[in-house]
Amino acid sequence: MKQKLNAKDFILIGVLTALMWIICMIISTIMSVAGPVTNVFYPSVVAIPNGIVMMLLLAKVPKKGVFTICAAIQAILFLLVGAFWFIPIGLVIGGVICDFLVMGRKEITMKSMMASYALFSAIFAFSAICPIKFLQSAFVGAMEKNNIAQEYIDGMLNITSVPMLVVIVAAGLVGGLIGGLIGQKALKKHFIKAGLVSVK
Amino acid sequence: MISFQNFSFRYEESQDFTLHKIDMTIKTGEFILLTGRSGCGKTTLIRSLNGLIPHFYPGEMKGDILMDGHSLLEMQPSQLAGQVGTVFQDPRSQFFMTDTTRELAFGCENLGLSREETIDRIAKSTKELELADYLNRSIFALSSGEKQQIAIGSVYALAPKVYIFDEPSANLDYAATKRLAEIMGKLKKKGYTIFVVEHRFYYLREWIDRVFLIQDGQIEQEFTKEEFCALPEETRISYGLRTAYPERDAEHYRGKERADNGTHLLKVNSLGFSYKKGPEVFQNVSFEAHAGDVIGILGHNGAGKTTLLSILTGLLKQQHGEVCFDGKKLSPRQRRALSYLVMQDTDYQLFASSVEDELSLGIKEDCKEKVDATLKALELSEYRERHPASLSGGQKQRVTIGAAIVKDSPVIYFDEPTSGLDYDSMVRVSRLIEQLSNSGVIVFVVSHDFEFIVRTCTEVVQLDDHGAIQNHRLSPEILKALSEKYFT
Amino acid sequence: MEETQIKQMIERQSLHGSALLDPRCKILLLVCIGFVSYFLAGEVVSLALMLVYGLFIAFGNGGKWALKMIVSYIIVAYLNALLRYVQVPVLSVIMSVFGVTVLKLIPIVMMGLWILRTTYMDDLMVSLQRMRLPQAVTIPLVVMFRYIPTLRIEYRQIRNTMDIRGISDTLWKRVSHPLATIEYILIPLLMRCLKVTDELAASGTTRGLELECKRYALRPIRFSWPEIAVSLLGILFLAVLLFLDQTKIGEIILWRV
Repeated sequence: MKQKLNAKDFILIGVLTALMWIICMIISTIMSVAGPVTNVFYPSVVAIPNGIVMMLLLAKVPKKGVFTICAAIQAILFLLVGAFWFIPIGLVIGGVICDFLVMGRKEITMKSMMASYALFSAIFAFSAICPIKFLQSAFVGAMEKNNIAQEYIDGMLNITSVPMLVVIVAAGLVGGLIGGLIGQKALKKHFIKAGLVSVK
Repeated sequence: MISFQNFSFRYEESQDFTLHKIDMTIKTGEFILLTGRSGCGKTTLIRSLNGLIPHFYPGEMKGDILMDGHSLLEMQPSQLAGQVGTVFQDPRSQFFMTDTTRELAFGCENLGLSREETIDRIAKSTKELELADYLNRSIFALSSGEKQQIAIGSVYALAPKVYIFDEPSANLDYAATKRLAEIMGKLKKKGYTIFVVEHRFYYLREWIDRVFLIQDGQIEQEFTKEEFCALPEETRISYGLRTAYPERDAEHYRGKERADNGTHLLKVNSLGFSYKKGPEVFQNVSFEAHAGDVIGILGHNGAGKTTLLSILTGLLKQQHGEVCFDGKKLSPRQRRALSYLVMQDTDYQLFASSVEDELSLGIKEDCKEKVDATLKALELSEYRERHPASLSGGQKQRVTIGAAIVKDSPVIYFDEPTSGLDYDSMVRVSRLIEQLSNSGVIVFVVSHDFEFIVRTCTEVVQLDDHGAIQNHRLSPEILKALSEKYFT
Repeated sequence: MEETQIKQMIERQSLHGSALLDPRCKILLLVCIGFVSYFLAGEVVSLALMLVYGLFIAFGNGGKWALKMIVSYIIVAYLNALLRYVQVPVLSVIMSVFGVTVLKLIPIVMMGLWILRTTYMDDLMVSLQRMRLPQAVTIPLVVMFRYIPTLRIEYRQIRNTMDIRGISDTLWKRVSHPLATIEYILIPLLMRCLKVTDELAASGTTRGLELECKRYALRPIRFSWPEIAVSLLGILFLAVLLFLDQTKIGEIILWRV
């Protein structure tokens, strides 16, 4: 199992990451337009269709480094389209952690794939939402300068409060689990049946 | 000089050897055609030439392959990059860069050549292969034929001594095929060794030196050009080979009559279409199709065949004119319900997890008996539980045709149904279409495959540059005109 | 056509000015903007950031794009300022957080997409290699940029087939069976991805993709004095903005409405 990644694996990662990236962009755009409340939950929704793609990727290339590379590529893209630097850093850290979780063992299993994907999705949710918390002081400062009423500022502090963040991260975790579950179902129904991949 | 010495190969994931004891010696500068039925091992053979076997597709090997005294099997594909160049079947999936100039330079940049050297080489490649018109363009805006010329140019810039072409004409129209033959001729004249794997080899007949017929992983026969071109019809067919002289089919053509049980009538009245801001794709297109007609839609790339197909199937809305079925004007939605499109790439058309489910997908009422009957008619019964993606190309195509039969569409469209098919599969598709037409279906076929058109169609519709359309009953005169257009 | 003429064609640039800077320089500026944009509270300084970098982009084939982004920036800022007169509890707070976030994003999006549009793939590969990034990053990245446009075409093909076959063809079917719809779209797409990967990889390896030689792009890629000057000026400008933000200038309110 401990083989080095080769050019073919890199290309597969590139192709599938392109697909995941597009799905992520479409969903996050729709959810941002739909409203700010749905916006903060986009990482958990994105995790569902991407679960299918990620499960296929992990099953097809069961080697160390897949998660990290995939996360690093997405991080670079996030950087290019204007994400706060917290997302790229969070993604890469998440990728490295998950790589050790799944690939640290000898053989990849359905369970370890699912667990690491859910964790990855939770870390993604955390890093996508955390900046709001981070920027709280900047926001408050700006609002005070703009003579916005105190109750507004309190309200804003509320929706970026710690319990809210926990909810969002938990949603990310759940989204990852659902995505992983659906992904593995699709894997069994299609790709394993067609003899394209095999997973223990 | 390249010599295969008792070379056998078995893919890691398969039980049996795909190649058995291949023994052949090819002299420098020879033009070799490798042909045979689908799945006979031709592709495996060339994969072992360009280093993909064993490094990319691992497996068990016996024997050896020597090129100028060195074993090819010990070299990495990247070491072979400057020595053996390969042009693959689908021009759409073999480019890495987004613009043509950089795609030409891609190989040279991989080899770490200096800037000046790279520019020298791609300039040479551009000049000798006449690619100057395509420089500095977006790859996405090129047609298949143009993409393939860029792919050849990119390989040429690496200056290999051996060229390998894997079914290069499968995705090309007749004009692009002609151009391909020209380029191959140039390569041959420069003294390079060339291997071509091909089913439709008519365009190579001028250049071939030797032909190897492969059957079940073995070299069944070896021919010289003269022997090969003079092969009697029966022998050729028994080997499952396409004809080397498709234009002769025109002379032997016996008129085909439509099975006259037709009640349905599809009428197209002065259809016109243009894309937003674009020029008109075509205008004033009118023709009639009766049940039982098999109508070939012909025209070069860019003449609007795909657009016409999209309008007829209801995927696009026409700007002018109307499409009527049995006297009733149809909206795009109604057209979608009536028609079925069998695309060139079957990958896009298979959704379900078994062949059986695939056939009944999207049908509301109970259709079990019909599915059974269709599976039987298409000789797919033994595969009913299999996943469509695990079938061969020809089988996948039959599954999609099966879905059309179960859907009961009165109009069925085929887009390039014979690309990449061997003789047997081509005949099979042709028979299937004949059966469909006998049962009263109107069939439209977009194809560049002359042999197939002659065998299958009752009428042809020609789209030319100005978007005008001509509708003809297929007759020896029409065929003669067509064959002149295609082959001279 | 003669070889010298062809060489001229090969070396001819459709890009000019700031678009021709080393990709590393562009990416450096982008990262810095990303960092600074979120911490700027003042309205004048944020607008200054937009205008100056808009101008920078306009000097490199990005005039129209910069104008578009600046106009949308002003519109969003204005709407955001209007919000304080709409007294819907919770909702207007959320809206203003949203508005502020969008305002912070616009300069980065402007810069990021401009970089994507004005960077040749081989320049990018070379500069990523010079940054000592391994093939594990460069190859997937290049494949991605090339594959994203293809994905759209393939998605269209699959949807066409679905429409003809009556699979998830109506809005109702899509809404009532979202998972089935996702499956019907994704499975053929993934099958196709696997196939394309095989073909691309075969085509790449036979052209030496796996070799890790030092690459040279069709254009000389050097981080020389124009890049150094632009980077220094760019960073200096951002530092000044950050500094001003802490002073009186940062407190001026623009969008008083």
